Amino acid sequence: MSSARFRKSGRVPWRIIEGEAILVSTRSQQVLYLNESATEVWKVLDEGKSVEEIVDHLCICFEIARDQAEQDVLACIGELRSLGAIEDVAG
Amino acid sequence: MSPASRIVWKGVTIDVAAPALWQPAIKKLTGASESIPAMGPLADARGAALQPDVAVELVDQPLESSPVEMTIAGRTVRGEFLDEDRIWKLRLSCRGHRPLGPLLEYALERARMVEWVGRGGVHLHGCGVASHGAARLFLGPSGSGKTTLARKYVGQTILSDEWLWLEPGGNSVRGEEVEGRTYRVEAVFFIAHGPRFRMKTIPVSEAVARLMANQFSVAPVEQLLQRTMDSLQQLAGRTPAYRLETRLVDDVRALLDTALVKR
Repeated sequence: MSSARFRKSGRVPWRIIEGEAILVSTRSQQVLYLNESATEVWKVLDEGKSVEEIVDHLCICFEIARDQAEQDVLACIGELRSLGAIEDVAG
Repeated sequence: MSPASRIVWKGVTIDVAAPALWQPAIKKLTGASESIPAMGPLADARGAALQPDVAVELVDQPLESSPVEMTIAGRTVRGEFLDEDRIWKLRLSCRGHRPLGPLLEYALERARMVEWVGRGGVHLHGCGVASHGAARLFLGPSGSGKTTLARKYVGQTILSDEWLWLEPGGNSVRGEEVEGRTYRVEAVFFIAHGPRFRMKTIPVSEAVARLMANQFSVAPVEQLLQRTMDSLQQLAGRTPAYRLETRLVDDVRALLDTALVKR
């Protein structure tokens, strides 16, 4: 998982309001409300970073322990995947 | 091409195309007598195009993997939405569907809602109470106490105990009545049961997320969802929103009024 890369699928309407992202699934009508750190994950997904690099990025941005950052990133990616908001980048 | 009728349904001009055997049902439900040769713009006496607000097409064929799926009169109805020349078209499969009346009424209602959302209006699942031109909205899942709470506002206008129509731009709201009066939204409450009365202001981002979760999405189409988010963001940007926990046996109205005055 740590070397996996993801990108936004383009199938989920979203916007960032006051630093927090709101995503709406067109398929399930589910609404995902991301906190500040999850919103940061959402923002950097299109930069081609691997999961490991996103964890590093979060550690720096929010001054949190690596274990905590890894846990947060994996949970966030799991939710985004289940919503259909992101897809794997091949290779 | 199926024969079509142009009708006005609760203030919305709708072109309805349907197989010939549906025409008596259309006439019975809507009183439509005018038949037009095909879907699309008509021309007035000067040749200028006259557009319907929205169009409905009932087709006698199955629609596979369609985004709209509803059970009407015990039958599953599939459909899809198309945006053609800035007119939303709802296409529903009516193959073998009987009776015709409920499906037709559903199609017209759905078309009316699509037209509303297409203009930036929003359907909110909730209750509203109003007085002196201002409305308080109570939103939440079924069973959360919306109706019970609204009924404590004796002497005030109850806009609806199920669906609220938020005007395009999110400025004002009305109940289900087509010609109903509109009211400025004064405050929005997201309610839930709790051990005691507790009211907390929530940020705009959370309010938009909660409003999105309480809106009825008439069509799973990105363009419409974006428009809905625009209106809800405008509403949340200028209207205070609160998370409200309450025991409904409390005198909620008095507690609420007191809490609002303190803020």
